[in-house]
Amino acid sequence: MALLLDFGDHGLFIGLGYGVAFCLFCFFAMRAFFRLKASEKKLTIKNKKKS
Amino acid sequence: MVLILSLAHPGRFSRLAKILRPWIAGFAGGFLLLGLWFALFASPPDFRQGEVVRLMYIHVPAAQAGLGIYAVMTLSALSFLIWRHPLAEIIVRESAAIGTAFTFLCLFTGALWGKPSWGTWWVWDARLTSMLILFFTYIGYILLAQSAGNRVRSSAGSFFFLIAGAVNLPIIKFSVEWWNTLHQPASLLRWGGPRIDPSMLVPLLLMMAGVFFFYLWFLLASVSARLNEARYIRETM
Repeated sequence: MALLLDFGDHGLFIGLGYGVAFCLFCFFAMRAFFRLKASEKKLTIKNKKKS
Repeated sequence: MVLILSLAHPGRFSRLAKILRPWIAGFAGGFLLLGLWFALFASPPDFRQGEVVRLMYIHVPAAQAGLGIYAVMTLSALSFLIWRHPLAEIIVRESAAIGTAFTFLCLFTGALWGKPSWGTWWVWDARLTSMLILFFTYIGYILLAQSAGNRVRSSAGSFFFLIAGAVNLPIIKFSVEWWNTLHQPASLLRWGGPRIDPSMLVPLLLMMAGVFFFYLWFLLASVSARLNEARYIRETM
């Protein structure tokens, strides 16, 4: 917050831009990560059952 | 070409992706953190625009990513139509959402930057309008692909739409030269080199590298997940 106030009148614009970018990065990173882990887990369980 | 085709084998791709993923994630995180530090703290404000110029460090990388991802999707769609390689189809499908998000981010940060600099959120000038058309092309492709499901012939139809939409890419790039626009002309990728001061060019390049590696990591993780899911379904059938 202090950082955004440092940017004066434009703090809100900069905060909104970087905030939305941060949310999008987090969303796509978590989506890919958890999807990958879930697919690896499925394969591991199936291979265990097989053996 | 032989190397690309040999690496495009799903099994080989999965093994290589598993080795590369942590390294690429490290590069993405490192570049983005360093870029953010420069963008928010180390780089100076613009002498005319002031602090709001800091939006450039996400606006430009997002625009480059939106265009670059569309180019990757177009090339993959072409290679799918020519060689029918399943990996090319997966790359197109997995890239669509993140490409749309980057294009949206470019338009959103552009509006935020436009209000204090131009006095308006939006103008119907050539660069902004062609970028908006790219955003709608992404959405159109996603809707077509979803309605096609997993049927190969139908997904080929959505790929033709995607390839036709690629005509917009050079229009976006050269719109600021072909027409009089409120948007500034190219200052990074131009004959004669960049026109930006190194104190602003460094954070911009760092953020662009960060976004590039982030997309690469996302693509490797998503394609690997899709291949794992396909293998699971195939082996349990």
